Formats: sequence, structure tokens, C-alpha cells
Amino acid sequence: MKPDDKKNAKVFNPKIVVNKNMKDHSDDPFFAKKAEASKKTIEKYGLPKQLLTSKK
Amino acid sequence: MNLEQYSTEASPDFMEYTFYSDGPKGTIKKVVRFTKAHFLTFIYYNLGFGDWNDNLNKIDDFVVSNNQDAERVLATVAATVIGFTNQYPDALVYAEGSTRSRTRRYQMGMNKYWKNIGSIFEVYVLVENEGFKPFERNRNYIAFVVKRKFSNFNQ
Repeated sequence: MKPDDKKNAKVFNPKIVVNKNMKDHSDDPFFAKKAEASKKTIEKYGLPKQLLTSKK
Repeated sequence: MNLEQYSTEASPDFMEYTFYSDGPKGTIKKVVRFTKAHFLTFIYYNLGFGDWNDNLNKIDDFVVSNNQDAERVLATVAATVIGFTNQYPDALVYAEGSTRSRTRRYQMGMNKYWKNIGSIFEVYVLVENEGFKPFERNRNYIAFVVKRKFSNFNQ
């Protein structure tokens, strides 16, 4: 990673703390609906091939 | 320079994040969740983001909270994508705004901070009737997919 890239990336340095007791929203229909909508779009267009094959 | 963002809590599996927007409309709980999904043999994660509605006891992504902190909220959501991909560095993250104006908002954020975003992620945008293209500034799109270029800031 280039030094400039590292500096640029740090702009978004996340302030995230894990909370073991956080309310879980995985059953919220909203998220299921959004995932379903994404499937329809991706079935139509596929995923970017470059991301499926690129190596990190 | 660090972009101003809200402090965020993550679930132990780093699939879900919550934070509180604070502004003239009060304190609003925001929830971000990465939902695992499949396309053929590939796995991707859909980024879902909305406001928690206490009255309806559910997430609402059509509400316009207008809390005059859109940029700070977007920076916080961007930080959750980093938090998520720190744990799942090979993940493909797909995101689509619930409305055209919201997608446009994402687009504006992407244009403004492209130097920073492009340093962290490979970004492909979905152009209507054309398919996925590498990100280009000032081009309209309906969704985008990102993948981390590297897994850790300390590398």
C-alpha cells in the first residue's frame, strides 16, 4: 500500500465498538426486502467480473 | 484529517451496526446491516441502511429525517463498510439507495471523497441498461459494488 493511499484511507478511520448486547435486527423485514431487491438487480446485470476474479 | 462521524456500535459478528444521528429533529437511531446473499456460486453482502422507527417498531428507509447531518451520517455508514470489510476482507458489498435521490446522495459523497474511497476500495457502479462499470466521477448510477483493496490500515 502506498503511503498516500494509507493517508487517504485514514480519513474514514472507523470509531466502532462491539456491543455484545446490541439489539439484533436481522429479522426485520426491511433487510430481507432489500436483499431480495438486490438479487433481482444482480440477476439482471450480474456482478462485476473484475471483482470476482481479482486477487488482493 | 478525519471525517466527522458518529460513534458506532457493532454486533459481535460485525454484520450489524447502530449509531445515533443528532440534530434539530432530535436523536434518531440508524441501523446498518450487511445481509449475506448469493448469486450463482458467488457470495455478496447487501448493505441495508435505515432509521429505526420506535412507533412502528421496525426499520424505515423511506423516511427523510432531515437532521442536517447527511454528510456525517454518510461518513459513518462508509466507516461501517470499513469495519465490516476489516472482518470480511474478501466480501463484495452491494449498495443501492431506496430512492433515486438517496442514490444520488451516495453518488455525491463518492464524487467528493473519491480520492479516499478509491484508495481503500475497488468500486464498480451499475449504470442503467449498461451494467457494472468502473467508478467514474459525475456519472449517474443506480447501485454500486465495492471490494477492499487491502485488509488493514496498518499494512
